[in-house]
Amino acid sequence: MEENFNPELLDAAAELSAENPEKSYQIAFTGNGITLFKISIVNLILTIVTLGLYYPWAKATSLSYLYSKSTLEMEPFAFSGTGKEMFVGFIRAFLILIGIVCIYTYISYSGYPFPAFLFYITALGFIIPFAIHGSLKYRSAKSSWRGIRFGYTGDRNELLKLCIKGFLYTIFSFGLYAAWFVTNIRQYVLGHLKMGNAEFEFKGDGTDYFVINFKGYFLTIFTLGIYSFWWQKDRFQFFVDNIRLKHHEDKVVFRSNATGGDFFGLIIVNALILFFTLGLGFPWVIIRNLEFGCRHIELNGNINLDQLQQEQGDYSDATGADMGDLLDFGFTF
Amino acid sequence: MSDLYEALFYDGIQSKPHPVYINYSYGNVRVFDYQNNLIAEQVLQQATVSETAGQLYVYLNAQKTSFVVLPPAHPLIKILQAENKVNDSSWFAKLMRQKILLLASIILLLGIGLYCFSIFVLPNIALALITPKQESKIGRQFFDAYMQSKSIDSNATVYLQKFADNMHLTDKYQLHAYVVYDTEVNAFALPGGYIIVNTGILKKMKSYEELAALLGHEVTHINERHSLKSMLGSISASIFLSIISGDASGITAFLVNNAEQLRQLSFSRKLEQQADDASIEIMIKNDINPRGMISLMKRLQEEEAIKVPELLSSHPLTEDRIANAKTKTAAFVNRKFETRKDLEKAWVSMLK
Ligand SMILES: [Zn+2]
Repeated sequence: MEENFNPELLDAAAELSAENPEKSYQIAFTGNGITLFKISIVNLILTIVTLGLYYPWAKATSLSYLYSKSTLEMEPFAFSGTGKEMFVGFIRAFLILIGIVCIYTYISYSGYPFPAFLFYITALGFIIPFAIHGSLKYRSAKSSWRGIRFGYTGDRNELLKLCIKGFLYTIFSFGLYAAWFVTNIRQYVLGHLKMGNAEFEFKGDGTDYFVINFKGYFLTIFTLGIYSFWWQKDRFQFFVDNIRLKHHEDKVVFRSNATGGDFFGLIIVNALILFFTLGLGFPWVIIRNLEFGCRHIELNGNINLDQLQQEQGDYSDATGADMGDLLDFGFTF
Repeated sequence: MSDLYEALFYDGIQSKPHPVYINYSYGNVRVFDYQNNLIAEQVLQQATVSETAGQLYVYLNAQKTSFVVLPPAHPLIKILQAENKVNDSSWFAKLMRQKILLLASIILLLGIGLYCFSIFVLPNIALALITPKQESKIGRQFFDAYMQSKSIDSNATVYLQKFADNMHLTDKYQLHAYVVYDTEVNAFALPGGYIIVNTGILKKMKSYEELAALLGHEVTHINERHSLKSMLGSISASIFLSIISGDASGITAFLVNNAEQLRQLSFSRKLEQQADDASIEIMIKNDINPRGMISLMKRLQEEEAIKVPELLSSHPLTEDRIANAKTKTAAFVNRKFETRKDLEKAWVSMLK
């Protein structure tokens, strides 16, 4: 890709960047509950009437809405994934999962329950990283800001290795390794996430995350659950404060200013909304969560956001993303 | 032809916006640079229009990388939005134009419809597809599973089977009647022709008419496929519930779940009465005094006075059932019934 750029332009950009002043960037979420509620209702109607076939289109519309109301420096993000792509991915993901279940059932009923179980575990072990990888590639390629696509450049086999290693270590350490596992995955994923020609980076250390969880776990027990909001705050802070966006010599630093009290308010009010609306208030909960995230993440740095270049290609295979959906784990950023 | 308006254009190559002129005519959006060169164009129908913070974004390509931004209150915004609305004939757009109350009612109706379908239609379709032969196989599996922890009173079983055969209870199924050692005052039917009578209830009974009433009741559950029906009903109800709980919160699922349990309870009451009524008819056809049903009920009631048996859950409100049996047999109060020697003989041998 690099040779496509005018070297003069690159030099000029490098020169400019040295002079870029430090500034803070504004992020905001301006969606409203009523609109999201209406979108959800219409989606639900169409999903029921089509016996579920509409689901990928429903997902595309609600994602486009949420993206279009999320802004960086007053400009919205855009989601360009389509129902059709996700539908095709959905069918593929579904067939793969059905295939695995069929093979499992066949081996199991032929009188080999243990090999069947091993096959099942191994297949899932391969599929989960595949789904994470596919989700990241699809979601990021379909996300853009000011026309500049995000992109995920990670390698599937590398991620698979990380997952297998992390999985085995976590088992043999009776779960203690989980903190390092999660941090390593995060580091790998964010380390391969790009916004045009700017690169993300995650500087978090597994030991720090372990300490946060160790402290959080015991204090939550000792305070009969009250500390959980502060634990939540620490985890959020760990994930946010360690993110950097780098562009040549410049960078943007992410910082969380959320307090335990803020989390307390968010979670309690969300629970009350869901309780008193019998769950119908879920769009307001989504809106509140996104608003909360935007309000409590500060971006400071000296990247000139006018200088981003389109570098990441399009990627329209939604199989992995839909696999993640079917297996019911969300991987969003 | 049409006017040129100032706007910002993003080209999908770099993030810096270009100041441009935009023109909209005959359904086409055209973008010109300040030297009046055409740099991009798209049919509005192919473009995606969305509004954020008062600004209108007209995405010219499917990837949304190339687009024009119109600042708030730009003269073109209203025109483009209106044209875009007219153009968008998708069901989503059509529904989005409706009032929220109407949409909520549609959801409610669909929900009720889906519920009714999965509770009333789906089980009946399955019921029609399952042949009595397959039903017997299902029943056999339940029977084998149940028998693993029970032992059969083989002497009593021989005579119970004889008793049942002499009553000609069913044409559709091969009837298998068993007496099982169990002190609980209970009897039940499994799909496909299996009747299980506990020694506990057998010892409580005082006449063969009571046993005839019991068998008539249980065989009706089999002939009318009651247990298969409720099995299929609870399977499709659980499918419905899993769909619901996938989209709604726990509370909605909880409410639906409780409603479902209430429905099943009233369903089972209806079936019990149906079985009682059919049993009375069977007894009359067999020349057996149908008031045996009333005495059978009274045995159950005596037992209830001692402890609340498990039977209560599946045979609720014995008081009501006695009243019902009295009404249904009122016409036979003064009628004489000959003793059925064959049944009486089997009954006496059973108790040895
Ligand atoms: Zn019954």
